Amino acid sequence: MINFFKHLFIPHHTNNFKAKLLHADFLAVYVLIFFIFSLSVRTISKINPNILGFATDIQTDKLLILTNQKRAESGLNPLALDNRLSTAAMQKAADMFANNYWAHNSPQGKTPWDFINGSGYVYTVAGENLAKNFADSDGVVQAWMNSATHKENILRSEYSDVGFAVVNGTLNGEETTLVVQMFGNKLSAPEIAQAPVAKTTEIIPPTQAKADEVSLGTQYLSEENIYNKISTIGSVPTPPKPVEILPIAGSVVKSPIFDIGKISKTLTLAIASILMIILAVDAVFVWKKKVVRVGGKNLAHLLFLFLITGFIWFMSFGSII
Amino acid sequence: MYSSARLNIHYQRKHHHVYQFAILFLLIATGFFSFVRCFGDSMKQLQIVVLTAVAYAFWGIFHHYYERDLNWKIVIEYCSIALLGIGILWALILFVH
Repeated sequence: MINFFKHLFIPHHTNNFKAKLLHADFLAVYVLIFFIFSLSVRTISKINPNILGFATDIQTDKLLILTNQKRAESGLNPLALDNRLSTAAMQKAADMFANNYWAHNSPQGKTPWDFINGSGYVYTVAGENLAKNFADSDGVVQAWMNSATHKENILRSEYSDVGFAVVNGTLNGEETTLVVQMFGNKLSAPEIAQAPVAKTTEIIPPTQAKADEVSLGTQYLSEENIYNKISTIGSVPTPPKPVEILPIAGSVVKSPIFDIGKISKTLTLAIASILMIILAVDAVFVWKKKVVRVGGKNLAHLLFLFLITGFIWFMSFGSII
Repeated sequence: MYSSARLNIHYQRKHHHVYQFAILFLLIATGFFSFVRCFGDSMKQLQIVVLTAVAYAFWGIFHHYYERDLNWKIVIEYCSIALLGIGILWALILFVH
């Protein structure tokens, strides 16, 4: 038994003076074990996500606080939660689940602005950020802040309002938690009232007022389009037609019995740590016994495995667009 | 007893050895910081893992070529460890996509 463990863990004449667990064939076995584990977990979580699934705790209140915190750090005004924007976000999430897509524009050509218009929110500038499958609210906001274009949306000074939807559903056959964040700056009632006569009013700074510019989730309306939009809403100064406000999807909190994220990270960290320990033991043994052998550099392998553990630690399961 | 010419070669090799490990350290640090910066974009993170692993395998091959002890066993060793890293991260990221 002792010899067997020596064969596995310590350089020995039976393993050509290199721990058997470090041989190339064993490394291939680790990869195979991990793939089998991944496939099994994936299959079980599809069958019963309440037993084996991703733990999630995303709340709109927290998203609003974190968004405003990032804006405050940049010296910007806080955004106010707007029910119409939240309804638009909710409808967008429902549309993504219904039509099975993960994009700013639907396969039918519906844009984020259609949802905002449909909610009755009349805007001069609007934007959208999307996220899916994050474990918590901090992860969502952090991921957006790491992306230049999403960060630009969060830190845009023109915005005054924001709306959120956090919805759980099935997207492309997978249980998915979607987060939709919609920004806007509403056209005030007096501006709507004056719009048909005051056609020369500059509502949007000329440098930004590109006609219907849609750049990754942001839209500025040209003056002409604002007036077109106003005219479609109804006779000015009558307020916009009331729309049905959907109940706001406030949060998704899931606590499956076994959390895939935690289990996978723990398992991979364990494999990498065991390998690093064996490599370190191997290096000390070879150095102490002055073993001459042909092989790679343990220090290099250790550095690489250390990097892999860092990758696992900082890995994000979620994605943003 | 080493001749002075042999000693000179020995010191030069030792110097290059340090430089080469400094390059490896730089590669790993670059990979790590790029990975952290791409938090939230798992596909980009996977690309960084693949690129860093490939760079690591090439570094190993070049290092042993320079040390004049390169053989197939060493190439397979570096490639296996690089593939192990890619395999683990790929399997993890597959949960999302």
